[in-house]
Amino acid sequence: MNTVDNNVPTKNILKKIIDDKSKLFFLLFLSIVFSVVLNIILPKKYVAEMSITQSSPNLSSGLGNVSSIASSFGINLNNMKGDVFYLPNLIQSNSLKKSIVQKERVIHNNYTNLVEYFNNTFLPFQQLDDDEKLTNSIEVFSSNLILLEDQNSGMITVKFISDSPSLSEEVLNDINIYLNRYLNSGINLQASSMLELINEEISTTKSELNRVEDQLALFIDENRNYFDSPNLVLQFKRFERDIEILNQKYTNLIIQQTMAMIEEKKQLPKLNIISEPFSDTNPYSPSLINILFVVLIINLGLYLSRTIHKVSTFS
Amino acid sequence: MFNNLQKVLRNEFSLLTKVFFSIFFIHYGSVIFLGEINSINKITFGLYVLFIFYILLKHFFDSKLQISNTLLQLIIWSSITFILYSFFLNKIQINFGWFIGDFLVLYSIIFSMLLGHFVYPSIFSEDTFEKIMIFLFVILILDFIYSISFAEEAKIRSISRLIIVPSFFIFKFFKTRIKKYLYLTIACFLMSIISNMRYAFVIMILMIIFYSIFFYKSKIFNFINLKNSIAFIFSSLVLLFILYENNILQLWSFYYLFAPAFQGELGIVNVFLGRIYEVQDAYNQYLTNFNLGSLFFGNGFGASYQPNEFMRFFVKDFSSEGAIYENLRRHIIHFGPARFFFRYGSIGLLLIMYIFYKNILMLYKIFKKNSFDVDLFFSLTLFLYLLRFFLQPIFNDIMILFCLTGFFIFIKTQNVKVEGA
Repeated sequence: MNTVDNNVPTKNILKKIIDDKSKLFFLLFLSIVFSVVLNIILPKKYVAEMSITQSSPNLSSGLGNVSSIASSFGINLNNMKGDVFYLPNLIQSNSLKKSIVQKERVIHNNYTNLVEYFNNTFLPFQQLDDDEKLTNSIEVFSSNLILLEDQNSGMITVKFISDSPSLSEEVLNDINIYLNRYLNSGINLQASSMLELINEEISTTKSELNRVEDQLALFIDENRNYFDSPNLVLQFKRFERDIEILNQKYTNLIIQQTMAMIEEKKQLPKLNIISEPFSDTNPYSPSLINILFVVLIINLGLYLSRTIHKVSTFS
Repeated sequence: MFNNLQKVLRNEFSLLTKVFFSIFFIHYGSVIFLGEINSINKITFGLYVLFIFYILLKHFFDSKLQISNTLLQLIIWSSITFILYSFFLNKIQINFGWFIGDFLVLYSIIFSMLLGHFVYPSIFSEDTFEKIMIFLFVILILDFIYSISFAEEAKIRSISRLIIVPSFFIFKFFKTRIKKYLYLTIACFLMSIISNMRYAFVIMILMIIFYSIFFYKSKIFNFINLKNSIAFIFSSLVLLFILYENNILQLWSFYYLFAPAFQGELGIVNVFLGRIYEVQDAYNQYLTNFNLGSLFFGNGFGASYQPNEFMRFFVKDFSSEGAIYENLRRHIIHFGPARFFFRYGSIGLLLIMYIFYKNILMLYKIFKKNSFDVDLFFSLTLFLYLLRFFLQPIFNDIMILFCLTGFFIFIKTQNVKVEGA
């Protein structure tokens, strides 16, 4: 029986490797064959890609009249800087992911959603509740979503990997739709908040105007000969002055309300699609080169390890 | 000098020494026309690593060396684990250039140390070594002449990589007192000033100070007294004032480190802040990818990070070209310990700590021993190269690897001299 000698002469190891160089070539050949087989067997993943940018209006110039109204209320809109939306954050948001994974769609001829698709377990005891399924599917979705941003041009490239080219493309289309819907919803727009402010002010001014007009009507009704008394005349003049001021304010606010509505429309950020969602029909993974690299490294390790062991056994 | 050059040009060396010469010639010769980092010297770096690996294998084949089976198995499987770990961790953003570069750097350090430990190639004999230094000095001069005459930017970067040349001349001057080495040292010193390389200039000063300390020992400590210090400071200030008043100082990049209104801040503050942000970004990336393997292997070969903090600070225009991949990931970390921990984990950090430890210990021993020999030259030059480790990547240059091999040759007292090599 051969015993393993713990100290191995390096010369013997190298000699063995040189003598067995045909084995090394065979190992290389075997690795290539094994890699090709693995490449065929392993499940394929397909990637779809789209490129987008966001055109944000220049806030300081775009706000125009709204800024002047805002300044009359003590708000300086010109100090507000930065994009209202940052697209990568929006794409990475859980609300977008949730909306997409819960959307019903046809996947491999089954009408289902990504929550069910990603949680398709073979073992019955692995059943999860709805919340767990949703969390899992969002995690899987995130791991398959690749987001690249070119900070020079601002172009954002979104990639999605799945086991079907059509599904990858469909998911990107859904992201596109979601982004458009979100951007056009008017949430967080500064002009919208200004409009809200103006509407509130219109409502207050109108009720104030109505109240003062009612008070004036009541005053005239109670004091038909008010022009005989200097005090009553003074009180009448006060009512008249308040009504005139409120009336002017109300008229101005109505004009500004229209302007703000126009600004709001102008301010809506626009999603520019540089490259429409496009799915590559060639598999994204597995990659033959990558498999070959891994297989070759492992085989080489096994070969060297075995050679050293053999040399130590026979020395 | 010319006799030495003749020997280089004639066929008077062994085959392996000629290969060493050829690699040095192509590696540093390419710098003259193609810049500090170019595709040619990237290839020659890889060739150098393969070459020293070949010498090691040849030595293992020729010698009766025995290595423990367990140790060999451990080396093989830890290497394979490291490679596969790096591959899978960085697969999504993999850049094979970075991956192979990092792999080569780690193994080049290990091979250089092993080469020095096991083999004594004849190129490291003092006589041959002198010929290499003359040869490299000629390359330095050519680079200097080319840069002054044709290049737009008056920076001669090769001098930072070839500090081994002036170090050798200073060492030889102190040792032999031959005047030619003094002239060569002065030439190198002038080049370090005119080359506009801050690191080279600082290192030249440090080199002279360190060699003087080792050579003069107690005399140098006696020299440092209040009178001499005041005289030195005063004369330096006068010289600086004259240079400043004549707008000579302003031409020098060293000046911008301490001059205000450079990018709105002090240059030195900007340089260090940028490097701190690199570390911060790399640390964030390390935490994002953290797993058990991170402790041993860091983020692996080809590890990269998103330069969020760095970009916020410099806003794009200060990033060095080529250091950022197309999906805006950055590979370079200037601060060496962070770079090694990020790419090679505790393995890399321990390796570099071992080199530092051995280097400082060797310098201490030499100082105690009161000797002024070639081991001091290698130890001190390696120490000066290692100082750069904290500021810039250094192990991607073959001369520090060469110096590392030389250092490990002289660490080991009983070396087998390989005549053929």
